[in-house]
Formats: sequence, structure tokens, C-alpha cells
Amino acid sequence: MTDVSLIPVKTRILTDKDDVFAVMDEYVKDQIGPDDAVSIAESVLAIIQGRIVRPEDLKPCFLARTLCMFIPEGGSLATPYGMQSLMDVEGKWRVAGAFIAGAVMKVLGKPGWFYRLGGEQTALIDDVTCTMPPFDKHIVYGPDKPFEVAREIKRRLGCYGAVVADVNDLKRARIVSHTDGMNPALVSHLLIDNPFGNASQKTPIVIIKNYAKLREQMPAKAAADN
Amino acid sequence: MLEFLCFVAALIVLAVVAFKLYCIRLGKSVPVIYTDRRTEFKATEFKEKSMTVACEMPYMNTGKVLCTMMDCFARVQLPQEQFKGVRILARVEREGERRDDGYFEAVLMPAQKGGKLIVTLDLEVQNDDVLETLLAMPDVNVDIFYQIVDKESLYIDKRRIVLTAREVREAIEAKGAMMDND
Repeated sequence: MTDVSLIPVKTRILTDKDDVFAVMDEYVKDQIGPDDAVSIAESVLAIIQGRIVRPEDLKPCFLARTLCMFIPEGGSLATPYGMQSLMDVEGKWRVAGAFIAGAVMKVLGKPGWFYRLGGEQTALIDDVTCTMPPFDKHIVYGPDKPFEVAREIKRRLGCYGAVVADVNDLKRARIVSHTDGMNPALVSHLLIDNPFGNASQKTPIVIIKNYAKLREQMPAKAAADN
Repeated sequence: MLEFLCFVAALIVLAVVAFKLYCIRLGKSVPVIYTDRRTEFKATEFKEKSMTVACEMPYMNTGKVLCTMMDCFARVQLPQEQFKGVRILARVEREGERRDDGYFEAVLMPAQKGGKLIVTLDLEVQNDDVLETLLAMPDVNVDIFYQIVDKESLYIDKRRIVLTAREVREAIEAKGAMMDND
């Protein structure tokens, strides 16, 4: 079996003053080869892209104040500010429609439709406290054009592939975007223990060494699933 | 037509009442900083021209739903018109999350859960009569501001604690006793 290893890359705190490709050149280029893949945390990519907003800068509408009451506490949309941030990017009436449809489907025993119909940001928005300081007081949207960013990272680094991943300490690893050849299920499995670490560890990038060789060893069926 | 309009109006009223009842059943967050349960200010550090004192106080969300303490900071209310000899710098930290930078990291406050805040005051004497100046200090009001966001709103509230002249005097006496023992 190929020896795959994960290398968390320590960086400074990245902000909207940074450029994601320059960051990759600075921290990753010297450590990555053609058989390796790279993953970047989706919230950090979003922060670099300036996709953050302070709750104080939002004015929640009546609909946002109403709908958030039905979101279980702890969810990123459970406050009027989180819900308003979603409405600002996905549209107020789309969110309202998705909510109603989601509620009906939930009653019918099929949960999760609100997140499917409400737009991609529905599952990507992080409320306050979800990100490292100084962004712990911000709502962080999902990244913009994550597939294009992943493709450009791969092209510039000359590596096997790149992914944008949403990983947390609760054993949840969601692949937001990936380049051709990357298997989201496999990468999710590799990242499940959150090698990005916590905020203070400042490791928003993880290199997956020898990913290509592992990929080659996968059964044909798994490759076809990709 | 009138009957239909009445039916629609009744439905709206019913929905509003149901929503209000739902909100009442859901409950609210009630974040509390127990300033009345704070510990005495004790000296934690002495330097040539300054003294640091700190106290702890519990905080808790006594409500039924989660809220977030976005920020918390202390503001010292000692104007030079009242007393000129000491400049006081204040910071608030959470127990178990001590920091060197004065930054307060936003923290979730689940219902019926809390922790302790640590208020630290650096008393910097502005002249050469360090001991005399500290002993002459009046009681100092310190306002603890905190910003909360929950299911209903985002707001800033504040509580007040007082660094008493007695606590400063006792901190100095404790330091003196320690030096005598040495």
C-alpha cells in the first residue's frame, strides 16, 4: 500500500489582503510534487476572498428574524444575522421558498431539502465563533468560484490535484470543490481527523503526499464513482 | 368575498399567535455576569512603578437558548479630575483561555452554561511616590461591557464592579508581608 501522509502547512493569519495563489507559492510550492495533492480550508479561502461580514453591518429583515427561529440552535443560520447573510447572497424569496419546501419535506420524513434548495451558501456560511481570531466576530460565507480556484492552484503548483475542503473537529469533512482526478470521498476520508487543526495552529493548508499513487491503487469501481 | 377575506385574516392571526406561542416556548437567552459574586482583587504582579491586580467573576446563560458573547472588555472610570496619579489599563479574559494580547475571542454560551471572567487591572503610577500614590487612590469604578448576539438581537450591555481603596491597600500590605517574610 502506498504511504500517504498528510502535511499540515503552517502559515501566518491569512486575510483579505492576501492572494491565494501567492500564498500557495510562498508556503506550498517547495514541498509539493506531481504525485501530491493540496487542500485548503474553505473558510480561509473565503476570508482571503474577502467574503466576510460583521453582524453589526447587517440589518435583518422580518423574514430573517422569523425563519431563524426554526433553525436548531448552534446552526449558522440560527440567528437573524446568519439568516440575513444567506438572504443577501441567495435571495430573500429563494430562501423563504426553500424554507417552506424544506419544512413540508421534513414533515414528510425527508429532511435536508432546505439546504438543497436554498442555494450553495446555505451549507457553507459560518456564523460568528466558527473561525479563527480575528474573524471569530465575523460571519464567513462560502468561497467564490471554488472549482476555478482549485484548478488554478493545481495548474500553478503542478501537482496531481487540489481540493477546497470544509473540515471540522466533529468528524465532518466535506469537499466543496476539487480538480479532475480527485476522489472527494477518498479525500474526505483522509481529512476526517481534521489535519487543519484548530485556529491557533494556523494550518489552513494540508498537502496530501503520494495521493496519485494511492488513487492508482483504488479499485476501478471507485475510480468510476469519481 | 367578505367571508373569504375574513378567512384569510383569521388564518394570518392564527399564524401570528402560533408563532408567538412557539417563540415563548422556545425561550430566550439570558446572559448574566455575576458582578456581585466577584472575588476580591488580589495583586498578581509588582513592578517598580506598577502593580497588577485581578479578580474573577462567574458568567452564565441562565436562559433557555444559546447565545454568543462576541466581545467583552473593561473600561476604567477614573478621570484625572478625580485622581491624577495612576493610569489604569484593564483587560478581560476567560478562565482557561488566558491571552497576552487583550483580545477577547467570541464564545458560545449554551443555555444554563457559563464560566469565569478574569478582570485584570494594571495600575501604572505616574510619579515617583509609588506607594503613597497607590495608597491615596480612591475607589475606582470599572465597567464591564459585553456584546451579545442571540436569536433575537445583537446588543451591548454593561455591569459595574469597583476596585476599592481597601483592596489596593490590602494588596500592598500583602506584598509588604511577603517581603518581610523574605
